[in-house]
Amino acid sequence: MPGPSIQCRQLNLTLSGIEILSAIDLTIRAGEIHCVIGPNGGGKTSFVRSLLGQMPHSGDVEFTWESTDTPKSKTCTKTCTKTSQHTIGYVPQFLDFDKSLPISVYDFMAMICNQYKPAFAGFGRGNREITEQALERVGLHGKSKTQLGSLSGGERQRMLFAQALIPQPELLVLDEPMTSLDNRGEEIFLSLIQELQSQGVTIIWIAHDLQQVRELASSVSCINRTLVYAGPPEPFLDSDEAAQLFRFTRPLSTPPKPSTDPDAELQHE
Amino acid sequence: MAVFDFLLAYDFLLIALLAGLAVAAVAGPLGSLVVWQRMAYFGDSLAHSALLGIALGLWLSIDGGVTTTLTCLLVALLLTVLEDHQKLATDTVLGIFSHTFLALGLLAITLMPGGRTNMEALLFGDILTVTTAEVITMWGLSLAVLVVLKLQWSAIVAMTVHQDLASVEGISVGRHKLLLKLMLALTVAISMKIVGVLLITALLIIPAAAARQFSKTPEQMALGASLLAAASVCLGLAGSLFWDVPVGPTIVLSASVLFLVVRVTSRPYI
Repeated sequence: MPGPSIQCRQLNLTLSGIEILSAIDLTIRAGEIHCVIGPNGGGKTSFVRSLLGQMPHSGDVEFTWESTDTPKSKTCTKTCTKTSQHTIGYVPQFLDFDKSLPISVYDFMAMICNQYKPAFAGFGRGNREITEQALERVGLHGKSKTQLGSLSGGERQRMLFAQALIPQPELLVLDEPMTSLDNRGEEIFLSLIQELQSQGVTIIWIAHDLQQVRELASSVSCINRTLVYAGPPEPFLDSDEAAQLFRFTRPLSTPPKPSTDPDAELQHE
Repeated sequence: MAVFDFLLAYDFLLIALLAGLAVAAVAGPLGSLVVWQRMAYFGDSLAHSALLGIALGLWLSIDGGVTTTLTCLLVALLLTVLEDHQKLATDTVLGIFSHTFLALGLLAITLMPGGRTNMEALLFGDILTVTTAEVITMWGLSLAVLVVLKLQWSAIVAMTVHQDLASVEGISVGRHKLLLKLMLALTVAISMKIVGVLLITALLIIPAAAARQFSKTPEQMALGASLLAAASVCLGLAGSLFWDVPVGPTIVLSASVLFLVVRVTSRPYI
């Protein structure tokens, strides 16, 4: 299933008077693993969400789907994610989950993946086989009846990945998926990402582990309010500019400063 | 004569019971949503603004039910707009409004010309004075909210679990949030007569919190909360007749007792 190519021109984003992103021109080719990197608070998440049409941005974002039935390119301005039969898988950074909501892994998956088929008695309407398969792919076999509240952070993150696999995505968007993962989860993620790429899926991956970026990315963009760099990973990662930008982020133990981080604010709204 | 007395008593009790059940039906699912989305303070602000609605009704000499409903809906809209455009934390904003509405409502009603209003009934409810017409309106609004909830249920629950995921799935989060707040406003407006402005949030939250103890799915919790709220209404009415105490607080206290019983008897959830 071939993924789309994405082109954005002069993308600007201003939120309550503060300029988050300005004048970003970027092309993401079909079927590549495109890593978005940049310092904390630089606007990576905002950028990707703008691409997906979830931010009040200005400028053009154009998805060109090479697959079957819609040969013409589709310009999407505001909401583009569910406008056609194209599937976009999205793995958010973390699941800020309130334990007061009683819900099983299976119901969660059915709800997120199938939610256009209302049924009175509940969410038990997803395809059990497909759900189990997706869970198995992320190493959560047999967990479908577990309550969400009793999953560990790493398991929850893997479940979010499984959710993005139903139905098979053409575009996969990952927002720092490794943040709360355990080692095993990381292995599973990396091999799944490679597997999906081999099937032609376009992958946009907000990453912070530069080593992983070096190993897997076909192209890289570095966002820090503006587009600092776009192109193949190696030359940029080896440059002095990158060393300067990422000098503080390499030891990942330091948490981002919440007050100056627009991304963080968005996630806690 | 005794039979006549009994029938008379039975008549107003039946109406009171029907009114209480209308509120209980809708309090279950909406209370669950209030718990999941941590909207208790929001509910409080709406409840307090209902007092303003009553004052408005007295001032304009029109039916208090109408003005209360409209005021609650308007306040829900106002708070939604303000929440989005504030530098202050949401609960600070709500705290300011909640208590301003309460103070303003109390003053407005006290200053209202034309006789004294039974303040206690407004604050703690007066289920025994509900009229047949009011019961019909309550059931109408309650059923309307339930129908909308049923239609939008999975979208609203998806939004509760994860806003971003829901919006990637094509759910317009903003619109559903507003819808939820407007439904909450209607619920508050019809609960006003039953438990009064100070206790409405309790009737929303306590049965839902109790139902959480034994629920495995969101629907179980919503339904369980409705049943527990209905039980609280029955117990409250009976208790208030038996001990000759106000109904509103007795209903809420019944809910608390039920919560304790459920909490003690069910295994702690994970």
